Amino acid sequence: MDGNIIEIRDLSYSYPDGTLALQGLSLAMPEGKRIAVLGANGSGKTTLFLCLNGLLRPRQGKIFYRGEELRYDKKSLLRLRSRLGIVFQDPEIQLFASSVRQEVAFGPLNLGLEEREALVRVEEALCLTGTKDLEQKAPHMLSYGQKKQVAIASVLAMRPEILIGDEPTAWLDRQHACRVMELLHEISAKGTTVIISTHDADLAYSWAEEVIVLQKGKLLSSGPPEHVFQAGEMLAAAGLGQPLLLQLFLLLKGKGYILEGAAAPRTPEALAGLLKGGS
Amino acid sequence: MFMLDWYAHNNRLKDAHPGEKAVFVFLCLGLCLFFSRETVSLAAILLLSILILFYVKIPLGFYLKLLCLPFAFLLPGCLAVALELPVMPETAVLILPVGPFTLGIGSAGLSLAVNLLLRSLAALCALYFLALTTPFDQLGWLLRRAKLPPAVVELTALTYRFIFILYATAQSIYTAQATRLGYASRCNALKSLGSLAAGLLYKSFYRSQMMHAGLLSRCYEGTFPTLKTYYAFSPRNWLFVCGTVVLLVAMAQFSF
Ligand SMILES: Nc1ncnc2c1ncn2[C@@H]1O[C@H](COP(=O)(O)OP(=O)(O)OP(=O)(O)O)[C@@H](O)[C@H]1O
Ligand SMILES: [Mg+2]
Repeated sequence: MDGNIIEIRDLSYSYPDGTLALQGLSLAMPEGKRIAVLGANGSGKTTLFLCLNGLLRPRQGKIFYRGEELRYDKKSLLRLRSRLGIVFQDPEIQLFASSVRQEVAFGPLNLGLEEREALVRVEEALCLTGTKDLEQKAPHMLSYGQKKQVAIASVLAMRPEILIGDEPTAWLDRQHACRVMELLHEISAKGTTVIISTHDADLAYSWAEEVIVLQKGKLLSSGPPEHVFQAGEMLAAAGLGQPLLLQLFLLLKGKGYILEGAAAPRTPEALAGLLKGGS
Repeated sequence: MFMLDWYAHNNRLKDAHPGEKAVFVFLCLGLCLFFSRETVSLAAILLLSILILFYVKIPLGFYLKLLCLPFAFLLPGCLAVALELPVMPETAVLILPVGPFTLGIGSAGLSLAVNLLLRSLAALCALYFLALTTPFDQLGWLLRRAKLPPAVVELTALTYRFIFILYATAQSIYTAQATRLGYASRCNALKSLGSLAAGLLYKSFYRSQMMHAGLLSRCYEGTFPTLKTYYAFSPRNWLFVCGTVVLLVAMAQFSF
């Protein structure tokens, strides 16, 4: 296998109260791709991410980062975390500083960068996320969407090889959600591996290059979205729906309106192009 | 508290060099205490109030409210200074016979009390000026520049952030309870308040744990490094500071 940046073998994690959040999970994440981890509420997405970042130590199983097993001594953890950034589900808990600027500078400075270099990265992250004009504000003065953007900026400024976003669009309105997804797309275009979690099949279908479906802490399916989402029953069992676009495509195909041998489209425009008699 | 913070982040002087603001405020403070003259204190009070009200544009009502807060301590204190027992009848301004004693206010005590009151008021105005024009981030900068131990500065900054988180958490629990009639009767209110306190403790604990995880994920190693910020000096502001010093020193030459 070439270029799996993360590999997980037989990972199990249970919380102190006995909840088995991950059960014998094995999967691989290809480098440089946009990856969506899909699962219903409580399926273990957040737990998986916390394990990947070394914040939770699994009871059993191994995590490999570029073929190298993750170890839990301080040095290895720091090295891992300088390359793998995670944006938490709730931005409120991620923000601690008294201004946006200091918040974003926290990560780069922890990497031991020089002041000049740190400054460059802070500016870059602020501009990329469109939070430049908020830099003097205190976090409690920001709206939820702005907090989310700042949280993303604070991780981006570390220039991680892998960026993990835990439900990056949760609670955002359509416009903000689109902007965040565009931003994640841009970041991925620069070569960063971007992993998000979501329970929104439409979002995963249109955005991801690789989909991983979890159910109750177990791997249900993984692969390119066109493949994974074909299995409607499996998705329903996981508490997820089929993407609307794919449903439409399958319906139209069943009725014979679609050109022969056409592959499942990823955008509405692509679907329109596949219709018989269309111009 | 929250209004004060809001004004600190939204005023005309928020982008001014924090060093300039600090020097200005502590010069005013120092001169008033040093000269200990009513004229100097009065001039400082007037100058600072005019600045706060008309330049920084703090509404009069809010400013008065802020000034009234410490009055609860200030007035009894000054009164205690002014009162004499027994009072000399020839210098007395006010005599209150209380049983066998003659309690009263002598002229020496009175002038001392007035001086004290004006000095305290001037000091208050100066500190409010700083509080109303300086966002917390700049205060942190000042504390670091004052070479306070990093741990102290970090603790202050975290406390500042946590006050708002705590408040927001309490607010959300309160709303959640109130919408379900948690405060409809006195009995309900008592119960709800109890569970609010318990919930607040639990949530704070949970949040601090999560925040710790958030810090760890960004390579936190026990310290909070901060980016040095460079503020621009403004000759106009320094001119104003010098003018103020001259004014206050000149006022010290007069007396009532
Ligand atoms: N701190 C905790 N203590 C005990 N159990 C927990 C804790 N956090 C999560 N769990 C449990 O672990 C399981 C997986 O939770 P996790 O948060 O990973 O799910 P998720 O996929 O992120 O869900 P969501 O979409 O709601 O965020 C759930 O059953 C949850 O109840
Ligand atoms: Mg989650």
